[in-house]
Amino acid sequence: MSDRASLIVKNVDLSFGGLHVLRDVSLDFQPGEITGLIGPNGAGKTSFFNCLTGHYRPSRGTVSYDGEVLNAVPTVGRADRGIVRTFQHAALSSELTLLENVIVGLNTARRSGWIDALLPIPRRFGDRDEAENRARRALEFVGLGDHAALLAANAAPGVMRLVELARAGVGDPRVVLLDEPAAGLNSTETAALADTIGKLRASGRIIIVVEHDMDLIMGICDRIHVLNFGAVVTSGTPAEIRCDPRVAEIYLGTGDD
Amino acid sequence: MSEPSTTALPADRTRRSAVRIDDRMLSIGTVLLLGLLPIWIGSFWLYSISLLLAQGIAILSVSFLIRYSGEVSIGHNFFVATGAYTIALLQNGPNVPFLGGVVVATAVSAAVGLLFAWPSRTLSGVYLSVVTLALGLCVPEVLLYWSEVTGGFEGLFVESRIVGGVASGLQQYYVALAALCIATFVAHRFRGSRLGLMILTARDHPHAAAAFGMTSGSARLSAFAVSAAIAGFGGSILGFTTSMVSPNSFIFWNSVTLLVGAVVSLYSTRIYGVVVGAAFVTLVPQLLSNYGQFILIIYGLALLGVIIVFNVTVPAIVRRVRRRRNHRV
Amino acid sequence: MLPVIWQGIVTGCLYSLGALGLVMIFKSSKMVNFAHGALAGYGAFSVHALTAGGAGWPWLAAVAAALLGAIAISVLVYGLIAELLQRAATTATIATLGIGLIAQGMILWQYGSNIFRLDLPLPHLSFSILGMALTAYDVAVLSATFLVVVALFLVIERTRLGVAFRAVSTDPFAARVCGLSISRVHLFSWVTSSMLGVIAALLIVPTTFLSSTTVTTFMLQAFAAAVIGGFDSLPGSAIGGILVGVSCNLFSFYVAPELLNTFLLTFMLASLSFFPGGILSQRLGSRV
Repeated sequence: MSDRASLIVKNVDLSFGGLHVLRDVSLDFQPGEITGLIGPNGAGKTSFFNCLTGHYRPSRGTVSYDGEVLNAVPTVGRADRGIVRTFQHAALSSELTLLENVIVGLNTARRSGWIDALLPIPRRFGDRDEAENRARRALEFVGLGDHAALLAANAAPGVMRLVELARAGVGDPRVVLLDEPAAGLNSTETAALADTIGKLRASGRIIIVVEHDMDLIMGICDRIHVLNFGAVVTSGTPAEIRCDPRVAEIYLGTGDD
Repeated sequence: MSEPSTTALPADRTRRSAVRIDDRMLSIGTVLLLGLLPIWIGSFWLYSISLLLAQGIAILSVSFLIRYSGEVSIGHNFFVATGAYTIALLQNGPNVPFLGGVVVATAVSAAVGLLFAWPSRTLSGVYLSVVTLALGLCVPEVLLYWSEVTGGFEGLFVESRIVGGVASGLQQYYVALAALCIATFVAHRFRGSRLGLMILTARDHPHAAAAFGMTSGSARLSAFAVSAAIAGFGGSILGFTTSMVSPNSFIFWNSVTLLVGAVVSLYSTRIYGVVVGAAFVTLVPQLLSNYGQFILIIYGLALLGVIIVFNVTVPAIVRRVRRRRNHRV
Repeated sequence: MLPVIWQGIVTGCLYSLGALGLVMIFKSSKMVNFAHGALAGYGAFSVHALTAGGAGWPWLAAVAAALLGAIAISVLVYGLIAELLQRAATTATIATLGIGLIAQGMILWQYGSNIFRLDLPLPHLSFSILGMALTAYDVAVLSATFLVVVALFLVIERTRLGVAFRAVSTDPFAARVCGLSISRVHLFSWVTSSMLGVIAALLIVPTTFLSSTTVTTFMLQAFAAAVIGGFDSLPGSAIGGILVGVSCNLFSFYVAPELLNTFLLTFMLASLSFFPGGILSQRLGSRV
């Protein structure tokens, strides 16, 4: 896997029954960049993410990463290739602590299996300590270092968002997909989140953000693609997008948000 | 829901660390107490409590399944029987020593569990639970039908001594206690392992677990196989403590007993929790041995009551307390 | 062989009735009701107590009373577990196991472990068609099943409650958005299911005898029918019941009656391997 691998989406169509969710979407994402994906509700942003992670199979077109076509690779296999995501509705196990939830993000990087799970071998021979230390650092990275032992069931929504981010970032991923990371956060929390996402940027890493919060998107992204009715309307830098009359039309024309 | 993120945190942290210390102390205390118990009790109670401890391992297997896969089994008597008959057959045929027999019995039960859960791995948990009903009911049938192998109604004899010179009652007791300690230790330690964390994530959020590398199908199969292995381990220990295996010990009713024990122990993987569950299902039938119908009713009330109290009543109280605390803040 | 198959179809109808009750509840509440058999058995015992057991009621009045009792109990049961359903189906399932144990204990307490006869009030007729004996009982079972299935179909297809039931069973969240009352739909399915259970129990008991475990044992076949037909398909479970009835009869007759539960287990596992989600789901395409 080269360090400059890019993620290329070519002519992707997705439909459920007669409903076309994505139409001929072609985008490529460059390593080292943060890309924003915006558009009104129902524009197909989350469906697009699901095509990237393998939760949905496109009815036409290809998704490829680092020269490899991923269409036939299941979700689990894409995780092995370093593609991770966060969820629109925080998907943390309520019975686990914040730290343990973050350790889940290290799953594909860890080598311990059934022997470590079932036999009482000392911790230092397994990779539990190592995983815990990495997860702890990831929690500190998102500013939750003091709350490692808190059960996810007792965590506030804003905290859960940050834990999702830590879980996605902890395993040194190649592609990070953030699905509405700021949903339900207040403005202070959003500012902190923007900071953290910025710190996730790395030279070989592709970061894609779906978000409604324009300030967040405009502040952190290098490029922005605008989706409407499942098709790409326009692409450009934040400055270009801000001035693009079509974007204003989409948002004003539909009258929502 | 929009409770401010910072106010509730410190209190939760201290409460959790306090609970942790208590858990460990309780476990160690329980083991010490059980270890010293034979000094004070007679042979009848020694035998009863040996059975209780071996039964505890089987209860733990059901708790493990419910906790890690969120599914119910009412057929775990099958896996307990698999373990018990495996060790008995290994002793009666090739004369395999006790420890070897236990290891093989555990492995065989795990394999059988995997095979059984395979067809329903991608379906709703409902299918698995219903099929376990048939699994639980077929145990005595199978044992009686192939009676030339299984010994039919009389069953098979199991050696109840490992070392010479120590009374077999004491050997049975301490082996059962050691086995329960091992089983609870493994089950509890499993939670922190890579697989344990993934299986728990898959139970709550299958999509999230898949996105980080484990499908819900393999999570459910893994949980079921480990649970069956624990049940088989418990079965082999049960064979040792009773010094014989026969179809009567593995009827469907035993599965119901295991489930009641698991629910009463609140699906605990800690030794004190398991012992409480096992004590409940051992003592109730002993106290009410002449009133079968009341055992049924009490078991039923225990299932219903514990479930409702801990899923409806307690959360309601917690919500009320939280609301009051937030008002004060 | 033909008479064995024929008897299998007749008993299979009863398994279908039992399975329909289980599927009604699963479709609305996404859980299995393990108390189905014990509660239906309780209904059969009530009919026995009210007729032969001394009270001397006419049979129809006793059945009506038992059905009313079943409705009342199902409302009570639903009331107990309604809140569990909002959390996890597993806990609700365990709760129904508890309710089943209580019902079985109550039967033992009130009626002891004796066995009773409970026949349908039918003339002792039997006639022969194509060399097969057809008794009044067979006719009663077939016509009762037919009437119940038609009535169920009409209620689900033609009434407002039926429409709501279908909506909830395909998507509980969509139904909530549409302003349907979920608990009314749940109650509808629980009440219907309990009535189906009592009818099935009354029809099955004449073939053997009434004891505290007769109906729960019989319900294993109904569970198998639901697994084979698919827990979310009413027609599937009806066909599943007949399949189970015929194959069980053939197995007991030609192979080994003492391995019947083992046969059912193998049948279910095989069916799940080849037709996951039920025999009808493959052909109609998977409806998610």
